[in-house]
Amino acid sequence: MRLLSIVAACILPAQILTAQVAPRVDHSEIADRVLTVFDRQFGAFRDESAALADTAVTYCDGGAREPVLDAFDATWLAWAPLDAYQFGPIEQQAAALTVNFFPDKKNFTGRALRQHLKRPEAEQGDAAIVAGSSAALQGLPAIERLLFEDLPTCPSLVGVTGNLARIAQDLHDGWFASEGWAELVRAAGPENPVYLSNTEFTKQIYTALGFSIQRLREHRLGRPLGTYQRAFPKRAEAWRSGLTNQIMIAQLDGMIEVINLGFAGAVFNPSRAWVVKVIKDTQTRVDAIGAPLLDAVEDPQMRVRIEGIMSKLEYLRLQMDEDIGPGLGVETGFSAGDGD
Amino acid sequence: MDRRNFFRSVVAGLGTAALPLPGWADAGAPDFVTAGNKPDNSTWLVGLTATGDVRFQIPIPGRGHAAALHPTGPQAVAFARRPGRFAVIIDCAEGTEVARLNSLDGRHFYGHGAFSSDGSLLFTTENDFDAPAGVLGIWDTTDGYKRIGEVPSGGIGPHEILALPTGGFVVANGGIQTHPDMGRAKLNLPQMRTNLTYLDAAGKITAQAELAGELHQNSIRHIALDQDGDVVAALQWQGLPTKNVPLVLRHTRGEDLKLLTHPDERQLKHYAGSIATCAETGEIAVTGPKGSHVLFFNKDGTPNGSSQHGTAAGVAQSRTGGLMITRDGGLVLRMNGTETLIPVGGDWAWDNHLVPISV
Repeated sequence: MRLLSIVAACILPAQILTAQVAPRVDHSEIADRVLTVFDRQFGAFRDESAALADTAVTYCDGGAREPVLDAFDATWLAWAPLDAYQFGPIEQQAAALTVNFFPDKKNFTGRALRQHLKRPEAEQGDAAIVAGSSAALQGLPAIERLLFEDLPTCPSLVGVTGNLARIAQDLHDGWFASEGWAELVRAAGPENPVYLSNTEFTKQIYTALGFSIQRLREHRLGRPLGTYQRAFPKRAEAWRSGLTNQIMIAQLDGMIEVINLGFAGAVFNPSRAWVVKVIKDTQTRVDAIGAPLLDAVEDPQMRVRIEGIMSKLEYLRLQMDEDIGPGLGVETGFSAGDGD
Repeated sequence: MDRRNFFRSVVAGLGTAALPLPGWADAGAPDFVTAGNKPDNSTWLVGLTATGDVRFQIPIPGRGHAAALHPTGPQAVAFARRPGRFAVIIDCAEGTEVARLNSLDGRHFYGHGAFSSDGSLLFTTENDFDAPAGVLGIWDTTDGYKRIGEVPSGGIGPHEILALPTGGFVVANGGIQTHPDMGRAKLNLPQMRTNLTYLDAAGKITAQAELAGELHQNSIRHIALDQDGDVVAALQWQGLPTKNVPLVLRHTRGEDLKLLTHPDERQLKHYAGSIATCAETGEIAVTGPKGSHVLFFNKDGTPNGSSQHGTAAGVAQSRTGGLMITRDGGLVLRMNGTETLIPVGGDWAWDNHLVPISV
């Protein structure tokens, strides 16, 4: 009988164990730690964008192309973890579309570039002109086309990268300058205009991780995969530069950072370690596709691998819902306070 | 009486706003319809009486937002919450689903709709999200709710639409660009423009009033008509959160939008939910489900106090007088400045609007 009890205890789902010995969740401490992660992530995007703008100026002055490409890769990979944080300064500044107009079902980027390239050269290279133009002109996909399509790269590259560097600076300032969003987060409470309690920020972050998984599964993988009869390789993000697979890995790295360093000890460790392992397994599988997504979606064997990653992401979502959400005390429920 | 017959009889009251049906009283018909969610996250359309009885609960395929009642026939339309893909037409006499409207490819519903004055057409607020543009879908109620066309709504993000007693419609274009690929993220806050748009019975725009200038980010979302036929609106501030702004306005056709300030507007956390005016006194009530507060204004637009009510969501004229408000745990009846809590069993979370059956 006693043996049976021990066996039963051993096969208890992780979330039940979590409920029994869950650490006390201090949402104020979670907020501080997540903000530290954000400071680093938004800081990296700001720095890489600034470097990209600098290399663009040099390149358009007759310098080498390679440094621009390296800086471009680094900038997009720095953006990848931020792509799912569609609240706070990103929302206030409409940066979700300006930085990465994806998916772009109606070729708004191509159209915006065509219009821009008809402008006088001085305007093409003017970041302020770019800032006043279509969102689709302002971001990474537009820069990618300037670098990898048969288009006149300069001086538009200077204008678009200069504007992107400004956006990246504004985003970091929006979070961390005086009276920035981080101050709102830290001042959570009944009088706060956004966060009535610290728990609300934790819930926002948790929801953003869910959106991150959805974006990977549906947009980054599902759209190019299409059906067995018809794949859509050019729906893959960043297919021109070949960054597609690396972006997904960088995005998953960002999730690991939030979970390990942001949620940290607030989530019972076996659950946290398990979810992080699932994310790392997903990264390994992305690495093992065997080709950029652009090619992989048209190869029957690689398609199976992609479908396997999509299943893994669905599994990750379930694990988050079962282990991380309840552990943090932020399971989603419905309320008219959700807004509409 | 078995469950089905019970359901049929109680639902029979749903569409009786202008056409009392035989058996209405026998059926113990509800006074209000609202969407509601249970703790297990199941989603329902609920009929409530002014005394807090749940007369019916119909499962719907996702979170509901608001409902529209047919002006002559016993039919109600329950709309999914943004970015909703469905609306369910319920035959109130039979208690059955008559039709289900599915949004077209490239469109989703915003959660509101209105019938033309003769009931032959249903207008639905929709997002043409890849354009992006706001449209009004037009459905022929006499032909199985066939989609027969669409017209521009006059702005991005059309939300609530009301039929005007003089014919035609008024639409609140909230101004916020969203895309289902991006969840519920707001994509254009720095450039957003919000307005009230008036249309004739055929859906042609006849007038617009825009909230421009430094309040261009004060999204006009929910609207009601006052005793004089003017439009009152509940706003949602999308600008700098540390800024304090009015969240209510009134509009008389041909004049400028007039903002109504309130000393407790800050309690709404920048989010005014539903709005209604009292048939007897002209009092205006504006709910704040985020701030769990309700603001009141006198008929002339001056402030008339506020109350704290957990997740105060819907508000509507009550057939028996006064204003009824949905909140955690049930309803509140506000009459002549006195509030009475009316508990409703079932641990419901109301979502978002209260629609009166018969006023």
